[in-house]
Amino acid sequence: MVLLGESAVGKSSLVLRFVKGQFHEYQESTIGAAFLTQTVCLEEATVKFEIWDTAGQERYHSLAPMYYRGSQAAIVVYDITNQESFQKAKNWVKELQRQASPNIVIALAGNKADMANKRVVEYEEANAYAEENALLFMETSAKTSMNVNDVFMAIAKKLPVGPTQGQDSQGTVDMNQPQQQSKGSCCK
Amino acid sequence: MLPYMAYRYVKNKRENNQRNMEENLDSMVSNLTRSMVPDQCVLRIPGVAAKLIDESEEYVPGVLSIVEKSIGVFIEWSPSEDSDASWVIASDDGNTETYNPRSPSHSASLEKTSSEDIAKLAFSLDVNDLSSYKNIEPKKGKGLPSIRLICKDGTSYVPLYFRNTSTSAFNDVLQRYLTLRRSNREANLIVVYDQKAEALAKSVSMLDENGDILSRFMQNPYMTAMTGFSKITSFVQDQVIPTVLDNDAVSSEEKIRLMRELRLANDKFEEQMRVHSDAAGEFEVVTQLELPPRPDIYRESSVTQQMWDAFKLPNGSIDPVKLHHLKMNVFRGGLNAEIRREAWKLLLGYRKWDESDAEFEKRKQKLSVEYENMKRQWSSITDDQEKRFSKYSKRKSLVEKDVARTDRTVPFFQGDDNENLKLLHNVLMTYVMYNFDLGYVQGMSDFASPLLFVMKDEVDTFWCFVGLMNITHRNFEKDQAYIKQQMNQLRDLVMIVNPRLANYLESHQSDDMYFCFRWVLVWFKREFSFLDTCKLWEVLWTGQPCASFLLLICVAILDSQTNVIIDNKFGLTEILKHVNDLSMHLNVEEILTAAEAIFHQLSASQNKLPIHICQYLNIGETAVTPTSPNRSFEENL
Repeated sequence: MVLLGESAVGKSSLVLRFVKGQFHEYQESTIGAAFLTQTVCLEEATVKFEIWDTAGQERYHSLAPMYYRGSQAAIVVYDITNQESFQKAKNWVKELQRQASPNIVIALAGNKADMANKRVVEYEEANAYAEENALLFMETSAKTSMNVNDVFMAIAKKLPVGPTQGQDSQGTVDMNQPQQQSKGSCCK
Repeated sequence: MLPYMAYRYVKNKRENNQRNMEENLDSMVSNLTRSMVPDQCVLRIPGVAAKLIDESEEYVPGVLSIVEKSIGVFIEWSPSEDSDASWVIASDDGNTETYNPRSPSHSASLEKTSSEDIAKLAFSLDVNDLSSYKNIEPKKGKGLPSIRLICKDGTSYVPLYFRNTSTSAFNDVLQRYLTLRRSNREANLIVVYDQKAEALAKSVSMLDENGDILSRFMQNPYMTAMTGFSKITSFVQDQVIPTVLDNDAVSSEEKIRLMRELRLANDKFEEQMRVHSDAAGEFEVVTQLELPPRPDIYRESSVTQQMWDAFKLPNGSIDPVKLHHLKMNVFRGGLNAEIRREAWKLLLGYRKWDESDAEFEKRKQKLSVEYENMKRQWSSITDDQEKRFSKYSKRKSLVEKDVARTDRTVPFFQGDDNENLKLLHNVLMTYVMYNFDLGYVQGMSDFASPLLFVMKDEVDTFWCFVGLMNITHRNFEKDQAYIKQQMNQLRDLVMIVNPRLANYLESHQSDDMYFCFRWVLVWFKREFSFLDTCKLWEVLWTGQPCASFLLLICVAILDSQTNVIIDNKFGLTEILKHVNDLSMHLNVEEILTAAEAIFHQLSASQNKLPIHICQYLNIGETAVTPTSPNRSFEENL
């Protein structure tokens, strides 16, 4: 899967919280792209997340297709304290609907929900937009970890179950059920 | 090759328009053959003997040749008429024995193999019928090198033993006509890569992708060839030659001339083409450019204040005679922390090398005023004004977002309301006014922060930053063309220095080298500690030994990771992750040493390097000498 969204909305922070359980107030900007993986046990399957974290600035927009093209899922992130970033998120959604794989699962994440006192993007507005466009939607906080795991899990549940392409070279979320692995062991 | 091309043309045509064309073409071929192109022997190796029976020691001396004829290219062997062809063969225990096919000791077997039979051994094999061949190149004293040709129909020819030479000349010449690869599974087997199926598919797709493939090929044959040599030559022969020949408006002389030119371009390209791509990852290349071993490089201790002062004239300017020496000292050892503040101004062009203290002080005053003016331009914009100034507002918000998260783990920038963050902000905002079109791009704060850390002064930092941006601003341009160019150059360099890795990357969709994006964009700022970054940068700013030294550092790091990448069977994502994770686990001195060693390694074989590689490194005939630091660098060695 791939994370997209304007610069400094918290894409890397969301991934870092999900994958390592960490949060850095001054998370440095992402240059190029980062790639992280996380394996999670659901009731019915083991999910291996392969996550592309991209650079947000417009200047590096041209690199993004490289990452979303093969992705089965995307989290488009905006900052609830920044109207511009919400607009940018809508543009990303449009681009994904046009250019990405037709079956891509898109989630919209309104991050920095802990800074509600500076909120400028209303929950209802974003929720309505998400419903119109059939997106998963949650407000998240990488800082407090609110809804972070949930948004990743919600995506996993919407993905087709069963072994996907044999090779995981496409930067996608792989859903598979390894036969030889007992269910309990993979959660560690 | 000329007759061969004509042959290819004729053959294709014949298949297409058998009835109509045959007469014309036949006459054309015979004309070509008669008037222009007698059979041409492109390789003749005397002293190549056929061995009739594996176990026996009976050798029939002869001559192996590759001959271009109007009907194709042929590998030919015939028994030598030279009756004096006696054989010295090193046996396994290192002793040498002399064999003479006519000697009495072998008369028994010779009786069986009459001279008539020997004559029958002569063969002439169309290279297009060759499927593979065994190529055994024993270690010295362990027997003779040999080949055994195997045809597409399964026929194996008699093994041929090379008395005086290795088989490499044969391999090399044969590669003009065929794409050869050494089988990974069997080291002694060289396989003819099936050109036709691949060439067809690739030619078509290349035509689709790039109608201008030929001009691209001519301009940069080596690069183009990296995507597959066989496809291109087939393309030239199958598509271009007929087009040329089909054009009635072109006189036959013109046709011949064009074909010659194509052939010359082809030859030139093959000369450069010592490395072959390996898309399947299954075969090893047959010939590679053998680089000499890497020399041992020793880094020196960093330049101290005292050493630095010794390069100065009494007026404070740098002695022009010693300038190169100074740069070399910085290149080899970096600078002591105490001297950076003074030295970086010079290395970044803020202060000129020949500027006296007084001159610089005077100019600095002016630049300081200039800075304050530009700073006022943005600092006087009110919030209200900003609402109607979106281009400015966007730039400002980018700067603010990034300043807040630049190097916050370094003590210099730690803590809320850190004063140094404000200075960094001011410098970057003023740069937005200095170069509004470029504006602020992510990565610039990474370049600015070590400058501020060293300068501790806003104005000095700004002008040093301007100097640094003069070198690196193209990294930040919108079209990313310069980054792509550097990625391509990096791939070319890896191809020469470490073809195994290059082949691996290509076969794992990673030969766009984008996993090195961060390295190149911010000059390893994210890969090294703050102080190591300072050292690396000052080494690079000397421009020694070539402007592309940054890319050689990339090569050195990748080279050190070759086995990790390949043995772990890393794919595209794993490579990127691995490369990102090298951050803070790299030893700057080791890498600088390795990169310099690679430079010398390449420099030592500059006569054999493809031209574009020489250009990247500013070595060889293409080197820019008059103002080049490189020449004097070489002299200094």
